[in-house]
Amino acid sequence: MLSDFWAKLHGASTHFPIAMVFGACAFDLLSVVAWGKPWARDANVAGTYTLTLGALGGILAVVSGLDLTKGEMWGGGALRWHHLFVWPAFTLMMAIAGWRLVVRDKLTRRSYVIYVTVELVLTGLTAAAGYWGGEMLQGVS
Amino acid sequence: MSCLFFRAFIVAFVGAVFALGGAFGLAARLQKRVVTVSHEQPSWTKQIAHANFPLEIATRKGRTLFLNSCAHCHGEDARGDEGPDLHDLEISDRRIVTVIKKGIKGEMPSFTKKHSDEEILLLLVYLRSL
Repeated sequence: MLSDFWAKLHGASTHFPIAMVFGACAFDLLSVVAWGKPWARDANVAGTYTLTLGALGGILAVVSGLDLTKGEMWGGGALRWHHLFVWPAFTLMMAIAGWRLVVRDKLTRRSYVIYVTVELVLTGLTAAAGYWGGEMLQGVS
Repeated sequence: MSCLFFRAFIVAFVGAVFALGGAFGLAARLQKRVVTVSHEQPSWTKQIAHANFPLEIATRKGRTLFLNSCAHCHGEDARGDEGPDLHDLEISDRRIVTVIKKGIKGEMPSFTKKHSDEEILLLLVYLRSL
């Protein structure tokens, strides 16, 4: 009964940070491409808050996931693959969200390009973690 | 500006350490809890021991059930036919039981009405013996 609750909560809560990371990356890409344009700053602000919300949602996803697996950090098969991508993604997400909250819009274009590159890596890691999470539910073996 | 960036890197580092450290800490705590609350993670070996079944008999019974319900899709040797190969499954006991009970939409039927919990456990024992 209780594990069903955690399974449902994990399923519900993982999609939020995934969507937020993708959204933040899209906003930041737009902002860096349109550097100097009036709306680029709006996209920058949207990127900051979207990533921050994603990081907060990520905490709930990790806590519910750990409770679901009874504290298993690695596991085997698809779960292991899921974890191989989840832990770097979660760590990187918290790191760049913290960095971004301090720097906010005081970015040079060069540092912004580097930041967006790191954010793209984060998006890839998040997508891979989500893929293997889905494999655990839908995979046939 | 460089002072701001330095401060931001410190915050990023602390955030990363807290995130990973917190996850590992919570995992360790949960694992310790599972050891003390044994009913939350009943392994099939424990359940079989509890049911007073010698493992060989359980495996044989599981094999009979497998031949009746699963072999026409997974093959008599469970090497796969219409359904996948079931040898050396790398998924948890709980996941196997869930798949047997609930099935997979469009691919495998649910066996929750056809087999009791004990029979599904015997199927699991047989699958783990492969």
